[in-house]
Amino acid sequence: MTVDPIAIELFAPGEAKGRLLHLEEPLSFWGGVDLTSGAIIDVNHPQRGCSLIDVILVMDQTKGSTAGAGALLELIVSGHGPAGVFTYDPDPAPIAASKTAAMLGHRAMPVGLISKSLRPVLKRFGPGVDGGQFVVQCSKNTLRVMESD
Amino acid sequence: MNRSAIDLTPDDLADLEGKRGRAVQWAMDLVMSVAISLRAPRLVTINGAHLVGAYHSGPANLAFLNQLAGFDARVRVPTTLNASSADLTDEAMHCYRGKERESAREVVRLLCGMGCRATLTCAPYFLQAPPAFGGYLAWAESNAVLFANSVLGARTLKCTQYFDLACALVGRAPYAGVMTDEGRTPEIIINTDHLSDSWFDDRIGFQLIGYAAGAAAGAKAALIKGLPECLDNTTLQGICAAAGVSGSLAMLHIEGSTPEALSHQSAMRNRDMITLQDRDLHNIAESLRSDLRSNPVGVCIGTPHAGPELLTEISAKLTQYERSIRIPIYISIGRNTYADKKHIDVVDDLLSKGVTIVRDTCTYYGALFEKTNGLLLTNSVKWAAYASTGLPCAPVLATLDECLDSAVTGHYNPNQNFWNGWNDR
Repeated sequence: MTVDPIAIELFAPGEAKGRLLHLEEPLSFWGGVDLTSGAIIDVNHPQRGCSLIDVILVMDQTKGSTAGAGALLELIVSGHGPAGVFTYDPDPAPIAASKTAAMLGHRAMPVGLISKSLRPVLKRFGPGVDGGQFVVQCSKNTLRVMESD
Repeated sequence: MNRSAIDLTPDDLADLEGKRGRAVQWAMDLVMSVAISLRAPRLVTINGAHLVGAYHSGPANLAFLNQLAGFDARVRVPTTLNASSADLTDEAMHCYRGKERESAREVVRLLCGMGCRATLTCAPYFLQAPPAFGGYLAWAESNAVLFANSVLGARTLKCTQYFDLACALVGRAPYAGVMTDEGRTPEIIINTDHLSDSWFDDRIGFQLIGYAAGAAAGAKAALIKGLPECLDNTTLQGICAAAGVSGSLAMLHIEGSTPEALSHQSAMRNRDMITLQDRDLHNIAESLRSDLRSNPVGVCIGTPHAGPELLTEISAKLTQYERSIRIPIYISIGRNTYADKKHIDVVDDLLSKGVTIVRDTCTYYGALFEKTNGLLLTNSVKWAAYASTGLPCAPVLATLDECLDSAVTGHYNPNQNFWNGWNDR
């Protein structure tokens, strides 16, 4: 399974490479993620138990509490956060967390927007599909999806 | 990111270029980045801000606030603070103790040093001089954002932590989404005509409708039709809070109750419509009433913070019981409501009836109930939804009368009339 490089619009700059985690439903970082482990703990989320550590997180957008950016900042700084966050709908929360982490001298976590038309394409690369593992590299304004070694 | 897409004033540019310090530069860079992501053509001047980051969210947050303070950060507009993770009033004996409470205090101290007011409430619309119709704000806290836009007719994006502070530091916000006339037009209709009337006997029926509306609307502005007219502020507060848990929308119109609902009637003909059935509300309620086997050990009211009308109502209801309460009732309110001379009588009356008044914080932060293994009753969908992940107990959504009855009798007997004969497990 291959896909052409995907154009993205970056709102917080940075380069990253990590396993793809494609969320089937929106997630609240506040209350929905365990800050000490980076695992999704929202009892109603279909991907409960998945870890956010160093993944390239792709989702429609975050939901729920406006404190989500604060939770994401803690995850990033403690090493339990994603390597990059890309959404199909614009979302201030990951932008705010990334730029605040950068102000603290932390590695810049890229945050960007992906065209909604690519959702069906990227969804196929989610965890568990075809039993395959895919990694995503974000560089400049492009995402590349590759099979992991 | 294309910076030329946004029309910045000379003042905005000076902020962005760091001419007014590093805190302002960080703030304008963030405000502009969010503005570009939202396709805002420009920024607008705001009259106020409300910050969600007034609680102790962790060590990185404290480090960041210390860093901003070191850069002499100062808010440019009147800025209120959301609830803390602890009751910080001196006489409080409950909620976070020791180091956690000191960290919560430090967060507030740092923000007040930047010019914020230590209001510590998630219901800033109950403070004196609430925002005016049509005024621009940068508010965070999902329930407050929904209330400000929907009920007051003020205009605020659903600001997240740090983005809210950034807007306050530059006094500007992106002109996008619900800040514009077009962005306030509902894109989805929630029809409640088919629901049984008994849902309207208690405010949790309205909250369940709010939750269903938020889940259906996602990020879209919604219009709810078919509800009784002229709903009171406590009911509207509950609808907004529940919609803010399930959805990411910043605004909803309620036919017959909110000020801009009527102006959108003609635009609504070709919109998506979702018709709610009793089963939809039962399903949501079931997820918030998962365990009814144990006995209740506490009642939590005031998420978001209760206003004076609700306090008066509870006080009157408790007066009708001949016995005093057997299990604790906690009511969370803002410290300004508590201190307001107009409300001293009702607060004193509740205290004399054995009610515990919690200020500054929300009981779902946990420390009140560390050793609890019974039921915690609440008349708040928001409390029930968030407490299930944060507390070692079984939250049970119940009507206000069920909550107070249980507090007096020590047992929970569901009101079958309200639950439409639905069999609780």
